[in-house]
Amino acid sequence: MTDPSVPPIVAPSVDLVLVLPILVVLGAAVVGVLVEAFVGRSRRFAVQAALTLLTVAFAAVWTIVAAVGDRVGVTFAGSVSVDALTHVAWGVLLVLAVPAVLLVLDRTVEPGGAFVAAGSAPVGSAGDRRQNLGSGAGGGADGPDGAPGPAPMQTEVFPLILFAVGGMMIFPAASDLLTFFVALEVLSLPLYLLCGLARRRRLISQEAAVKYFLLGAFVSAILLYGIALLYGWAGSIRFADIAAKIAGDPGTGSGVGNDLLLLLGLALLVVGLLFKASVGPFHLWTPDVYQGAPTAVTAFMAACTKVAAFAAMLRVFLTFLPPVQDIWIPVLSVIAVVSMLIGSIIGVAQSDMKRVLAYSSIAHAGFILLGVMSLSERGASGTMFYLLSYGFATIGAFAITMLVRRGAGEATRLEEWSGLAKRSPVLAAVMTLFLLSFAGIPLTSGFIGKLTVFTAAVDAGLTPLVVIAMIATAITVAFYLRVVVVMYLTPTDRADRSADRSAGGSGPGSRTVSGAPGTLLETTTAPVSVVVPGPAIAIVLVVCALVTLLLGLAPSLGLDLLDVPLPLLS
Amino acid sequence: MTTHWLVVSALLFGVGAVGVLVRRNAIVVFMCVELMLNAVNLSLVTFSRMHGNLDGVVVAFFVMVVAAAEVVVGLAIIMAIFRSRRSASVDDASLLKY
Repeated sequence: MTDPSVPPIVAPSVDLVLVLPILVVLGAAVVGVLVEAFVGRSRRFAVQAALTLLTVAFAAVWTIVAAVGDRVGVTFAGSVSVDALTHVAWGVLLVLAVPAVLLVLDRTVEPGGAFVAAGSAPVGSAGDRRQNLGSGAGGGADGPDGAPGPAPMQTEVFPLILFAVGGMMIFPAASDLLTFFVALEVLSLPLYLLCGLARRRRLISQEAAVKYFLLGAFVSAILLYGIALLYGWAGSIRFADIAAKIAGDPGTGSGVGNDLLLLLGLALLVVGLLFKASVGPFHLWTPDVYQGAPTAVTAFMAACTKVAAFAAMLRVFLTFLPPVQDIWIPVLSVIAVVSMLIGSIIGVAQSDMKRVLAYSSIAHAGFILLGVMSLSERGASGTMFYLLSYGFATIGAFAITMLVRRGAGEATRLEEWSGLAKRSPVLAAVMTLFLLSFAGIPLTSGFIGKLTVFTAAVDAGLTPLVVIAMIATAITVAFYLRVVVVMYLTPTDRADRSADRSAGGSGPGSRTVSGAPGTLLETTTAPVSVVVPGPAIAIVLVVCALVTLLLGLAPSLGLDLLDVPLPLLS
Repeated sequence: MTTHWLVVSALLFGVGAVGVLVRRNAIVVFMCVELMLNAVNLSLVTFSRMHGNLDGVVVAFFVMVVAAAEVVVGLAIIMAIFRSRRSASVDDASLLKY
């Protein structure tokens, strides 16, 4: 009855327990969409916030338990690989996602929430103005005096964040090209939307979303072409098969990689990864998107997207590159140097706090790439440690950016930060701690991160690169210290004078768009004020500061946990 | 013979990529991205036939699904900025720079 020449179809083994954290996160995201439809408007925020926070926390705890129990394996017919790297990546990602979600759900800094109440209302329209004027459309959050406050934010933000986290979890676990691509899209698409949903300065928020979307879609098409070429070269989409073919090619040593399909395919794939990690010459979207997106989303992107992208990069590089590293290490070295230098040199010239942090993230991406390029166990665990320490410091820094405000919006121009230390010494001190950690000063986590990554790179024979990295580090110290100088040594009255100037219409901050007065940069003569953080942001700041100090003083706490034994499963 | 299809696919991909770089209307840019995705699909299906396995065809189906999801998200974003600015030109949106 059956044709003996056709092998019977064997159902793939599916181990759902291994991938339970992914299932829980994506399942909760779907439940979140249903909550939007069925739960009353007044209770929606509380339900969504609790659901998101509990889900992420549960997934984090489950991942830690599974990692301690060493429950590893490859499932879904070889397309998802849950090994030590996956566990470490999930752990770091979810631990960073918790403070990021706390920033998103804060409603004390911005009444009603930092996200727009109706994303569909055109900027400057009557509906757009109404949502901030406290008409309390739809039973909005009540102001402190009991009067109806601004309309509450769109709670679709929470399922979007969960979908993005789900994609970020699949990304480093992906062990075939198809899963890899789908995970990339699942993590990107929600982020495009989240970027465009700011309540204040909606025009630049939407502009950031368009830029991120168009460039992101372009790069995913490029990455996809790389996938097609790799499949064409190897005849399989499994990482294991492709790696075996790369390693087992008869021309190993000199000839491998000359094969045009393999070379082009890997190159296009790597471009896609570097774009997502905002490395080097593929960084052009980063400053604009980091500046335009709602600050909580920027923090989420800066910390979590980087973890996902670099963890996936670790898997791809560790699987594919060792046999052909003679060709690839020089190319990647150039990219790492370009990234460090662009980040540190252009960063010095920035005058907007969020752009300073964006260029800092580009420079750090160059440093992290050194760890990935080491192609060793120490390099892998050093990379993850760096991502953990950088993630906490950057979330903390963006949290402080949310608190410094002028009028209704955030005061992100650097001159508006002058004299912050007098106004609120504690915040300035905590910000200084984060900046010192970015700069890699000893006794902070950033120092240990740089140390582990650089030693791994030296062990891998990348010493000249490490020397350049040291120089770049010195340049970045200059621009972090510049912020510290602004906060501590510049007198406050300068900020007030600059406010007068921009009110006069000649200052750099007085750009407005016709038809949408006041919605763009909201230049006002209102003094810069520092908001007292609500419980959510306070927790984030305390946790980020403690982690930054603790990992600096006792790095073995983190380094031991983030051990990534090779070889990876696939 | 099948290699001809790879050449066609590469040409289509190139046309799409050039379109993304030179066109100024966000919708047209987006359509060029779709052209690139379809060029990749052609490659995938051709490779699938050359290798005699179905992996490439399966990937092509997933690419279609992803492209559809991308359209939903992308058009929503472009609509939002068009309604605010009355323009879908990528040159007009230039508040963020340097």
